Amino acid sequence: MTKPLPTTWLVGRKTRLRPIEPADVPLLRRLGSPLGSFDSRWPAIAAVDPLRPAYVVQTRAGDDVGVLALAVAEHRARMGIRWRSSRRWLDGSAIDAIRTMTAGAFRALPIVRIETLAASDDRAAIRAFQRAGYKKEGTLRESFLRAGSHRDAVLLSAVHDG
Amino acid sequence: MARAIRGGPLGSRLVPASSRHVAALRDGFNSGAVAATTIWRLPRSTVAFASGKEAVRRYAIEVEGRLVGVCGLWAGRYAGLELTIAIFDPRLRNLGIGTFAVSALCRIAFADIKSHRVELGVYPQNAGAIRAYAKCGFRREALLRRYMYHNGRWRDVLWMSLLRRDWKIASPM
Repeated sequence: MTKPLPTTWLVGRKTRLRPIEPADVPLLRRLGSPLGSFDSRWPAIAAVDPLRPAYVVQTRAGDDVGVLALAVAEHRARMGIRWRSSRRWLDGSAIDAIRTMTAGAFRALPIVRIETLAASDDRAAIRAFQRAGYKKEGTLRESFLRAGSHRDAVLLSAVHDG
Repeated sequence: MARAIRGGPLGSRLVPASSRHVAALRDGFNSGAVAATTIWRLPRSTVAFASGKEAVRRYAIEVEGRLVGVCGLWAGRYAGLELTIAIFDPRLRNLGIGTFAVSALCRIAFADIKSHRVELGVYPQNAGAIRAYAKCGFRREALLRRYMYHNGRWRDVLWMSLLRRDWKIASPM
């Protein structure tokens, strides 16, 4: 018998976003925080903090393929995504998950802006956000650490015109 | 321990902000003189000014012992440290006091705190401030859309940064 899919209204054409649950902690620890700085407490924080909602990205069939999180502050939010496999940036899953989360967040939260940071050499991620409707706003120089050195990040955003 | 920094135009100096500055800070912000260029819009109480987010460093800008503005370094929104500055007395703007304060804060950020980056946000219409920041070596990085709400509408913010390596070239230690 097929296991029923958890209920969520964040459903796109290719992906569905279900709230994280305690059983997801091993996956979350493995993938790390989608919002940059690693904090081992983040799964617990994301599970209960309404300003840091996090979701497991599933295929429509129910396979867990990634984690997506928002951090809301004032009228803005920052979005981050981690995938089990980087091919998800390319196969349409990323575009669909980003579109679904962005539309849901603008529908449900009092925010007018969602932004994200992508490593400036991560063309697949930048392209996925752009195809999901995000606009490139600029490049923040030496704004994150990778392999012990500061790297540039591209800042992209979606804004709500309402 | 932070110390006073002297040598600014018109005898201006930066003094570590303390409880003795709270009333003057409250009056400066509550006058509305910087409401158009800072996030502080509505008048607030002395208690509100004394509490709130901790700055990494915060200085009162004084001229002849009178507080005329405030500046500071905060945890960066994106990376490194974020620089903020407000000069309350309009007659004291465009006289180099802001440039002096920004240069001094950058020296503190890079030489004392060893930050690799200082960043700041400014309204794109604030040409005087953008010129002053550029003079200190800041470069434009991004235009943040609908970032602030002011005068009944959402406004964009220009994000600028100065990197330690650029500062070292411009201001060798």
